[in-house]
Amino acid sequence: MTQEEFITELEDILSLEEGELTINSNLKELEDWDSLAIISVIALVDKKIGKKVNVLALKECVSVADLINIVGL
Amino acid sequence: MENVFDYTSKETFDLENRNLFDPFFHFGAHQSEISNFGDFIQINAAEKDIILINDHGIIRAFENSCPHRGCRLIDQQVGNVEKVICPYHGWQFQEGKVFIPSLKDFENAAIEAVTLHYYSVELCGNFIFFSPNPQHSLKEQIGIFWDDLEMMSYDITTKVDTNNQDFYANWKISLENALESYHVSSVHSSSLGLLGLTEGEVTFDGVNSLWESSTNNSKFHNKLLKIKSLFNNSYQKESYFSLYLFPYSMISSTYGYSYAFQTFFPKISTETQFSSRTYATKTPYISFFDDVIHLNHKIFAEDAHICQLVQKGVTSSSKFVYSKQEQRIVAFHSSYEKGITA
Ligand code: FES
Ligand SMILES: [Fe+2]
Repeated sequence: MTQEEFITELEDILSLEEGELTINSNLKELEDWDSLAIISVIALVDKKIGKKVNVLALKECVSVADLINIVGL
Repeated sequence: MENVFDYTSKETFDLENRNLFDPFFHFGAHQSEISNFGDFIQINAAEKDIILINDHGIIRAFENSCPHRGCRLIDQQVGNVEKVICPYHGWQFQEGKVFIPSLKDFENAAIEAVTLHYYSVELCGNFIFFSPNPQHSLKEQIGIFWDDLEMMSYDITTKVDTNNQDFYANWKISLENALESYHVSSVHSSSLGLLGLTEGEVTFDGVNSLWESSTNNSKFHNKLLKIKSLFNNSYQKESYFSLYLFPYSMISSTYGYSYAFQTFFPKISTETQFSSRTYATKTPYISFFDDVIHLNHKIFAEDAHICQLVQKGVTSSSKFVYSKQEQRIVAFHSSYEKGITA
């Protein structure tokens, strides 16, 4: 999965329009970045990349870039 | 005064224990909680402590009181024992039999008949129910909701939380609070209230009822739908629902992702022995349940607080009025009247 594809998936999880999210977007400013979104990201990374990421690590992410970093893309 | 509006007297408390506790089945546990030989849990209810134990594959329920001279047999709330041994004089209980040290010293012939005070145990799927002296089978008691309840029990994998706490209110106050959604926006404004639950629909069957409510928070609804594929569950509902099983048990769930099984047993006339157990369903993403547990604790603390205020404010001369959102309370009153005079 590329970074672009990941961001598109993330937009879907966060109910955003395509192109609304960039690598610099601040997650903390998005009202839909909540525990249900986090669990969806965990599932996405697990299913599509085969990697287990930890909830706390995701909760600490500030930007989309942090997220991509943890996911390892 | 009618018993149903009596929140203080010992007479009504005793009458309820005789006519509601004894003849009905009550929720005890999910089988996954006592799946190994010797696993037990203790349930505190209506002046009685009950042990549910996996006795070599057979689930038994008995009063936690030694038939010799009444000592409490097991002090812990959960655990595992090879056999039940009374700490006082060492009587042993296993597979329905009693082993008595120095048996020959008991000259009373009745010693042969001494046994634990067993309760009836019946299952609905993997849910364990117990009753001291059932007047109906569990299946008859649960009625049309049997299949739903059975399916829910099969989706559950494990218990993730136990929340035992005393509500400083008569059990009817605590239960009636759980039977209505009218208080949600004021009492739970920053917890359950955020779900935006609608008035929903109630299905009645005899003394039991099911409330199903969709959310008017469409964003929240969409988010819940999106995580559906993370669960491998058979029982799926796109609603918040709560199934009330007369007299003391209630199970609730959001979209079938997790379940909270609550019991509202009377402790003393002015206190409820409240217990809620949260169960996970089939998903590998168990961190989901951390938030559920956290939210449930907040909701039940809010309920405990408001119920205490009702107990303090209620007077026996009160004449109450009920809205449509409180129709399950009115139904409870008529079930109660029938049960209490039986
Ligand atoms: S009270 Fe239990 S053995 Fe005596
Ligand atoms: Fe409540």
